[in-house]
Amino acid sequence: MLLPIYSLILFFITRNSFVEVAIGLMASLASMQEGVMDNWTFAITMIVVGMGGTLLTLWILSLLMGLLKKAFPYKKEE
Amino acid sequence: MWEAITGGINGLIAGFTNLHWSNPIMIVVGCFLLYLGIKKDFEPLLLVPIGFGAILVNIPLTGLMEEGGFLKIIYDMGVMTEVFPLLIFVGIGAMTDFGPLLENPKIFLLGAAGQFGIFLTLALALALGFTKLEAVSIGIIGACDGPTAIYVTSKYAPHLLGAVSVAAYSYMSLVPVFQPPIMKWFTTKEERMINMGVVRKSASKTTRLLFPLVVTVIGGLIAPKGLPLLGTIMLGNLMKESGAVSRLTKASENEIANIVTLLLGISIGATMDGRVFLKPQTLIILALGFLAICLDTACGVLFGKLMKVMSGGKINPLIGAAGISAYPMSARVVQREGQKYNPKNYLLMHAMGANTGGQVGSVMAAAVMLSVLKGIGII
Repeated sequence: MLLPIYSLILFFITRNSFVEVAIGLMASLASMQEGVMDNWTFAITMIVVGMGGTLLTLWILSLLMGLLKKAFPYKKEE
Repeated sequence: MWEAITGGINGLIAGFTNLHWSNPIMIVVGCFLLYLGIKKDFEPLLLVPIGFGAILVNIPLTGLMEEGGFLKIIYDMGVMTEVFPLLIFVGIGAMTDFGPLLENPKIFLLGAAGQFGIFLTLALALALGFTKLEAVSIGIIGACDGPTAIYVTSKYAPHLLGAVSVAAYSYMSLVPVFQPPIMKWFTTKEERMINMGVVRKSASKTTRLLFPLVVTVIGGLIAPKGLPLLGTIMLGNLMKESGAVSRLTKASENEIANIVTLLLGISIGATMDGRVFLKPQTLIILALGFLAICLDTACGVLFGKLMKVMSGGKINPLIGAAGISAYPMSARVVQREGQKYNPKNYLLMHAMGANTGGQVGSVMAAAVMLSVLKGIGII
């Protein structure tokens, strides 16, 4: 619960993207416990955040394009 | 006197005496790439300069890839600086019609699913002993997008550039060969026969103009490290859709794209020195690249099945196979396969939508991957 709030604060302070800040914090927490990131952690992070991030981003874009189509409907004379 | 003559003769035979065992093999590989490009018409625009570059660099003592050599100058100027793939992307954006995607924006999700193979292959490459950045460069072959693969690999694993580029471009042209069996394995006959109807024109000019802007801004905010890729392809598309800069659009599609393609191809071929290229890991990279694209196809079709269930049976899962970035070849494969089972089924425009979604998806996947790497602290 505190992680997203803390990420949001850091986002406004550092101006890095929210995703980068959140990932950085999670990675730091993991590293503090385990030392240097191992391949397993890296692979899981890339699969979950990479695949999930791609899907989420394109889902957001599809929603925005749907909204744009409603806001600027096609007119036959075009 | 005799020394001078002997020295002169040595100069003429030095090329032969300095041949490494890998050089003749790579010259044959270069010839094979030329054969694929010229005779078989497999991505000739890239494979011909790549093949010839590979031949040039494997002739010893030419100095072409040493400091001051002309291939090294082109390579440093355009590949190491990542300018070449970005300029090609402007041309790709100018050539791509995102209209079918905008008719049905939900198809964007197929473009995302078609990139899952990148991340799965990345994990497999790590398991096989590649370093993190090497695994990223190998996984990105699954983007099925040459400029994206070159952009990522030249930055983070330049020693793999030759293998990754050859894999990316060769497999793109093999899409009509390996996609149909995968599509058949993961779908039932009834699913393949689903008729999706006609795509109606429903995206206004304003929507088409705002599309590249929205994708650039939102995509760039989420994954800033990928903005060079995203921004250039969307710039090309914006120029095309605006209609206000037709000279720039035509130049991007033709002169710029052609010149850069030639220089890019020959400089990638120049990285294929036998001493670097002919290693067991090259074969593993080629195999993993193939696996990545197969996984992309499988994940795209499986996601298509999920969308079919969620849409109440309206979506034909075959179009999921077009969620990869091999545009427009993959869309044509889907059309052909769809018509095999239902001659009245015209899936082409729906598949084109998925295919252009895959183009955006592949760039977005690379952008997300790079931003995650930055967040983790790897780059």
